[in-house]
Amino acid sequence: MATSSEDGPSSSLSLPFLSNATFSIAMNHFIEHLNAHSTLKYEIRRSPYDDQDVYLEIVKFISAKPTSDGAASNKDMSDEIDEIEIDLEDAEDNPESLPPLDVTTMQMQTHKITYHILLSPIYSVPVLYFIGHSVDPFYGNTIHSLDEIHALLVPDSHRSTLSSIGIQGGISQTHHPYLGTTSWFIHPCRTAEALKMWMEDGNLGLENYMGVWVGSVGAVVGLVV
Amino acid sequence: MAGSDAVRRAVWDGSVPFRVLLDPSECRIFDKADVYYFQANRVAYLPFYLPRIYKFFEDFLIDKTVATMENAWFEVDNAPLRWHWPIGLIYDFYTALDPTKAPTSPPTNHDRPGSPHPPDLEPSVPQLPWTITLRFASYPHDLLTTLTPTSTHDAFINTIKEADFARNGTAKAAMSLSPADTRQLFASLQDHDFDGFWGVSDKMLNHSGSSVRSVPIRVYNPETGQVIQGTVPVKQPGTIRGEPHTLGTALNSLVPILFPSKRSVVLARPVMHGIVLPLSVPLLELMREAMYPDGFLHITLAMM
Repeated sequence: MATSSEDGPSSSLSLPFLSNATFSIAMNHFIEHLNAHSTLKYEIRRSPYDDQDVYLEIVKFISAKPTSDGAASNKDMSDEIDEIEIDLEDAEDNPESLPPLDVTTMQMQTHKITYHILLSPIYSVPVLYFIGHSVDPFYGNTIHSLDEIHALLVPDSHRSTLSSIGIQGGISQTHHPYLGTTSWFIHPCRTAEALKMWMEDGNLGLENYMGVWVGSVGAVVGLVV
Repeated sequence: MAGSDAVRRAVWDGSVPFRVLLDPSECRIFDKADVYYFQANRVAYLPFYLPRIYKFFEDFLIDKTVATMENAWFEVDNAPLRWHWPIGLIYDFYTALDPTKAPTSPPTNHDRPGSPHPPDLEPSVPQLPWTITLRFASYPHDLLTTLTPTSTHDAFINTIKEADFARNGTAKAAMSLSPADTRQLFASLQDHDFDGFWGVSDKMLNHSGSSVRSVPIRVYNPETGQVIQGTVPVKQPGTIRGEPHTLGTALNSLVPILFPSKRSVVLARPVMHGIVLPLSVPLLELMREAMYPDGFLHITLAMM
């Protein structure tokens, strides 16, 4: 029930703003697109408190370049990130069930990034929440440092855009609106602005909404379709 | 309310007495650390008080290089206290008290470590000062955001913008504040400077380019942990004369399961700033007079 009240402004929302209903439609188009054109693994999830609150989970494994001593380092290699998409089925819980992979590829996967796409009931645009874990079987842990997140996920081309937003630059830590756990998120105060540029060209509809959104918001932290 | 700051000042001056214990595992003298007492402003944030609390306990710490201010966190009954919630909300949420049932016990400033804790008269009666524990080991990262020198300011400004967007449908009022005003907004909160804060905050609430359309609300259910966030329009749609939303009609539209009636509480009482709010209060006035500095009405529920 984390929505604007039904009689609120959401009933008259027009793009780029989404209501719960139009968010679902945009999401369905996006999922069709993923099924047809992407190897990204996704899952539709619902808030434990209200099954009207739907969100999309996407899991990606990425790699940070190993340093000379062989340990994975997250510093100063933002432009070196290779995005490797693999079959994630059961990989989380059982390393032995990992699909057979090229040995060099295996060594390069250093981090698991879990993205959640939610609708903000206030900004009425999708918001990207994400967490990162290093996947080292012995030293694996969750990333809690903003510098690490920047170094690992933010491409150089997006650094300056981000730094103009907010006190510490567009990415903040907060509590997941549905799960209550700590999560990073990209502050949505500029999202509508970015999407409006596409509307001026007449290029934004519910069919391509999420694709455009991923291009302008997701790309900032390495989510590309 | 014209010309009177009485409600705003009462909200601003609300406070909670705290009693801070150092976790015994962090103390180099077994169970012998002194106890730190302080009075916290409800509208403030815990990180404002951390430096002086840390300084107080510094000499009791086993290893200051491990137990640093960056690793510090507070706990009540195994629940880590959230850094970027206003203190008043933290207290109302974690105590989940019904103020109508809660006689306030006088602050016990004479406690000494080792002296028996005053017996609970009734489980629902708050023991004041509110006892929290300072810890350093095993920072509960999954439940607490990382505390950095900028994180409290960042979270505060993010919430200010969100509230502004909720009120006006744009964040122009917040975005158009001068850098000096933006700095003052947070600095005056840290300094507990009422005039400094409201001088800037009123610029946002009365921004010429926008009119307040909706009121940002977060409703917290302490029993489930659920946080319901929403915006409620100032006027009730569908009413012939555009009647103003009251807190009762707003809660009825946001959380109908817990507020089946618009006029009387049935299952839960709405609590903010330590008092039960009347359902009949007009929502817009409630926001203007009693919102938290971040622009939201943070309402916790006391289950009946």
